[in-house]
Amino acid sequence: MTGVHTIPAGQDLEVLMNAIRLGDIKAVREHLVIYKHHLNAIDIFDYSPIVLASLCGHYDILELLLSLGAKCDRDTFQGERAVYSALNDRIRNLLLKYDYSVSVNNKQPYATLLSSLLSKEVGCASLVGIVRPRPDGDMRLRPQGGGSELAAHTFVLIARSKYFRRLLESPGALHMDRLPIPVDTGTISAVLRRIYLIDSGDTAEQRDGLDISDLAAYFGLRFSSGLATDSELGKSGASKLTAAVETAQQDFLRLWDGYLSTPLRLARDETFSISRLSSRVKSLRPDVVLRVDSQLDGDGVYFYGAHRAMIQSDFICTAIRFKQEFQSSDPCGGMPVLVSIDVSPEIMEIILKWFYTDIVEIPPDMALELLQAADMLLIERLKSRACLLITTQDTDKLLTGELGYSVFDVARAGWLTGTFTKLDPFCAKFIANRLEWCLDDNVTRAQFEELIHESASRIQRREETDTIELIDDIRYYLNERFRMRFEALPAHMFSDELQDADQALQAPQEHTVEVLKTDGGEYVRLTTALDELLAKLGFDI
Amino acid sequence: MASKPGSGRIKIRAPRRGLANENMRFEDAWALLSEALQQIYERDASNLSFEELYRTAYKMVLKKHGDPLYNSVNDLVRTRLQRVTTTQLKPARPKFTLTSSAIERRESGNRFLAAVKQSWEDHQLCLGMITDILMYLDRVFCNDNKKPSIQVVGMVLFRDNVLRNRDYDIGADLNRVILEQIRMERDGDVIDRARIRSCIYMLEGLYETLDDREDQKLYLTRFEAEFLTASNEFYTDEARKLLEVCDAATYIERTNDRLIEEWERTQSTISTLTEPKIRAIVEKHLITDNIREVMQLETSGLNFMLDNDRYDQLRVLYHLVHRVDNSVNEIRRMLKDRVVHLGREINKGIYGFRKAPAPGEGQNGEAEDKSVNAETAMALRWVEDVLALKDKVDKIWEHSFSSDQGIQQTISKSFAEFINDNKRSPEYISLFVDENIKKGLKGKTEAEVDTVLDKAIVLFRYIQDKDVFERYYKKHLSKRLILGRSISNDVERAMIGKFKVEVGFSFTSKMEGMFKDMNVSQDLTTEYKKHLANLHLDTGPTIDLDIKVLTSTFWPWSSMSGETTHTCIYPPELEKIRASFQQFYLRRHNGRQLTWQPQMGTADIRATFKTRKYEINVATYAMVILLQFNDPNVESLSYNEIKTLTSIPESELVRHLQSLAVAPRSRVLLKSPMSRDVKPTDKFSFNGAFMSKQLKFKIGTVKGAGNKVETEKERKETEEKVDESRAHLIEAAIVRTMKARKSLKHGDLMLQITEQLSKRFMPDPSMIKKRVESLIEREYLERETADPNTYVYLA
Repeated sequence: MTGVHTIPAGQDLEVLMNAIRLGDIKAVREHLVIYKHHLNAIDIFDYSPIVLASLCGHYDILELLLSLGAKCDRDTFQGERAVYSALNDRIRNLLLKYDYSVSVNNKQPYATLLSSLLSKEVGCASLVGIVRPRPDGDMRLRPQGGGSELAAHTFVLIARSKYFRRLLESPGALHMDRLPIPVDTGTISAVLRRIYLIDSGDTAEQRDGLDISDLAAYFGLRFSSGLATDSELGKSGASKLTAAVETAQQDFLRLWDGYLSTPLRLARDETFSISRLSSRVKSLRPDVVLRVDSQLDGDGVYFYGAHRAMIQSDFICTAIRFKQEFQSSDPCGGMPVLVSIDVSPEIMEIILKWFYTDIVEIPPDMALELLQAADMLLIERLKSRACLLITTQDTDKLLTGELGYSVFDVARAGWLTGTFTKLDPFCAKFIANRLEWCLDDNVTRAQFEELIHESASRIQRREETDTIELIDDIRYYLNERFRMRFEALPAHMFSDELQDADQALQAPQEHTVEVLKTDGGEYVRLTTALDELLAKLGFDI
Repeated sequence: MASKPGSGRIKIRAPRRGLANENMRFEDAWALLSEALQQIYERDASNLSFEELYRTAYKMVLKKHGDPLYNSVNDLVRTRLQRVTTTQLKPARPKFTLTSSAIERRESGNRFLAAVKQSWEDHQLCLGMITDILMYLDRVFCNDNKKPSIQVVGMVLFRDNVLRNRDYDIGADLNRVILEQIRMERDGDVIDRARIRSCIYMLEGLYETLDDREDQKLYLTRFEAEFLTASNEFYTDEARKLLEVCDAATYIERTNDRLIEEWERTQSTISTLTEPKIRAIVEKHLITDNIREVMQLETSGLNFMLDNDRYDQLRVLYHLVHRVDNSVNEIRRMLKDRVVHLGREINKGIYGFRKAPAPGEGQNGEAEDKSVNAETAMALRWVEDVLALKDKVDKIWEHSFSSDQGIQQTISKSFAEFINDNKRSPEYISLFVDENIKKGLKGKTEAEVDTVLDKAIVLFRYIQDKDVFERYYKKHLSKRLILGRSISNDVERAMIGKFKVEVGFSFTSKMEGMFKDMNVSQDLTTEYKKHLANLHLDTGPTIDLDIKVLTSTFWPWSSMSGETTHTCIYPPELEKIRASFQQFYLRRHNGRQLTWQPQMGTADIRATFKTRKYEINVATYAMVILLQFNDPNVESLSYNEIKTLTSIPESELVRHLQSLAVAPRSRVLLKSPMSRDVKPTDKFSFNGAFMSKQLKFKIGTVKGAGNKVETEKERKETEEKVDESRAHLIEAAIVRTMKARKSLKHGDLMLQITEQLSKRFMPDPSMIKKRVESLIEREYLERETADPNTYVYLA
């Protein structure tokens, strides 16, 4: 997370830091009882308490800080600094033990994306008024009693706050000028930080008017009123963040389901205009409209409103920039940019949903198409997710073609999309485990031969090895498949082999040698058949 | 119109697109793309469909057309750049004809720079758009095949087809134009810096190699060297010209301006990478090579600046020299020479003065007196002159030399050098302190007093023979104490405190002893008075006795009393009280010896003349003489009679008779014949008709009361004394060292001794040798038989 909270360098923090320097654990504990928000504060030297404790080598204090929930994930500057400046290995290991980015890191990129929005995308021009969405999709929050106004993304506020959802749906709302409640800039910005998943730990500060939890409640935020209340102080920072991210995901899922997943459908001959988008989508102030052409007969063209802030596709981002920089007559961008995407509406929706929620829930039969789309649109992280979906299945459907694609298509897709490091081992293992099928079934055998050819041609192009990678991998997994049986009896432990396993199970102990012979025979038969196949295809073995 | 996904809407899925199913001919796709790229180059990109172009390139990569696509794009860019070179840059090439005027040259240069800048910016813009469209090619094809990206190749193409075009050497032209423009600016013209800067940015953005190594920037490989060569030539010439026409002040100013100018150039016109290099060139030619000559310029160089307190010039000079030499040795060397020279000028005044009255010296007491008085004034002026010089140099040091530590050392060394040149400086400085403590401090605040004394301490620090100074200071201090001439004890003590800080306890212990004596004496006097009161003696007119008992080792005895022993026959009234005190003192301190020093004392007497009574303060001896005339029977006394009656040592007697009978204002005795000299045959009588304006006055002793410079004779004595005490110190040091080391080579011993003693004085090697010989004679040491160069300590 990038939003590091800098407490105005106060005397109080200095007291805590000095206690840490001196190794006075009692003073540290007492201080943190009163000033909980100092737990992750940063002093004028950019030290946070854990960095300092780590640097000075006070194991007990460090343990206390971590147990109270001090952040130490390596994705952050402070966390990384603490780990690197650790006085000794004992301290370092303690930090790594608490490092949640190792255990729960799959949530981290999404949280980082959200956090980065507040600092990067918001706050360009100044504007009077509270909740008046600007053309660029920012919303301005203005404290009642004056003070500097704050900007936030309209769609984020709508996703996360019941208050803003209602406000935008009621027509009179836009005339309001200030927040109707007494609250100051500091509190608003603290609540905004929490909306954007920036855990700044600033909870205990009492100000005039409403405090943070009051304002959060007023806004109808779905997270608990205090991230670091007394009961939760003991909770580890990791699980707190995970919970916060999950809540945010749910909020954005609702935004997706309720607003964005509804495209505008037009017939091919109709002309698109922004005004034709549904009012719910328009209320979110989309700055991008993605146009998808359905190729089903009678189906038309679909238009999805979206927000550039959430788009993680390098292609779409570049297209927007290209159009704004080189082609638009209105470079500041009052109007949403229209980008055509050459995928099916289903895939578009999967991708958009993933942009907003980080959730991919699709049947396996769409996984390969998703992988290709992600590759075309240059979305690296989604490619990994798609590969994961593909490689976690182990079903014969990959050979029967019931999924709409075969294991051979998977291998090819891996080569095309640059994901072969993930997909190749899967394919090789899959084929090795079903080599009988591939060699014996004529249709499958033809496809297999074609794949071997393609793999071989890849080698010529890359000139790195003089063997066929695919075959090497298959031989390896074939070996693995049978070696396991030789070494580790009883074989029923390895239930993925149907026939052989049954045999082993039924055979009495004294027949073990016989089983081995049978398995050995099968192994020899398969390798010989493979060699023959290669010889027939004209390769040296 | 809207439909929900995932609600079973899509049962029949669209056929997959993009991959194997679609067929695509490279020629068709490339036709589309190349058409678009041409449009981009024609600045007609607004109608292009980014998505379609991207997709086309994407499909070409998937269909394994990546290689031809990559090459075709590069060919297209290359052709384009060649055309640009021929059609836009070639016509703008400047003509470097010698006949053209400066303005023409500048204008044609500007046109060329503008054309280069324009072509570079166009190229960057178009390349950016091409890179966007071919993003998939870059990301996937180039990455997989380890080929340089379109962006990198685009830069290489620009380099090779524009700057290094086979037919027109645009790169060389560019260098030449830029250098020419910089030359113009150096000569005072105004040029378009921003335009040059954009061309420089271009050179910085292009590399010799594909991997963008920082040291392979074209700017560094192609331009910078030429620039530095040209600059080298320019500044060689510049230095010569400046030396020819400028005085030092102008030279320094110009150099400073040039340095600033070149720095600005690296910030605004060329790359900051060149900053250290061009700076080195200017520094070398304008400072390192020539500054010495500039500083030595007679009418305007460093000496002139020092003499005339040109703080600003000196400051600039210092900063210039400091650039090339952190320890500014050149300045230090010359500064030292100048300070020593000025110091010696001050010294010369003294010598000149001392030689002048030579004829009368030694024969005529009065003449000697006068010359001593004058020399005392001279001594004080010497100290003041030295201090004034120090002030002047310090101010320059502070204002112009950034309080440089090294220069401070140089200043100290210079002062030490000429101050120690003057053998009398310890005496002079002590006199200066004496003078200030006695007179000068009246009406000054404590802080001012402190400043003056601190100045004295600064000079004291420079003195090498601290023991000589100690001797003089003690002498002067003792007179001040005994005669009560000190204005304030606090000031005296502060001064001693300062000495203690400078050289340590051993230096001041005796002076502190003197102070202790004074205090003890005060108590003693009071007690004695009480003692007298207790005795209820009633013996005629009481004499108020103020006694000072001095510990003989603390006080500089010989210099106070001279060789002669001071005794006299006290008149009975005095003798009684003297005996009484002696008895009193010895009873209190059994076993001590009291020696009376009448020559140090003074007395207040009341004398009745014809007209009125006067209270006169006179020396003890003078009182004794006057008391001889108290007897009403005495009409007159001859010199010899007085001598017999008082047995005052002759020299003292002469002096006191002179002050009583010769000095016009205090002639309480009459002398016949009336002459300045006192001869044994002279007769003296009481001058009843004496009159004075004041009721209370003081008869000073001719020569003696105040601290003056020493006469030659005294000086010789002092020197002997100093040598004597040095001999002791050296012997002590030798014995101490040898006792610890048992055996030591001659050289080592000399070194050790010199080091140990140098804080107090610089021991003379021949003196050490003499002491060693003497110690060998007395069998403290012996020479080792095998090696006569080694001494052995004999227990």
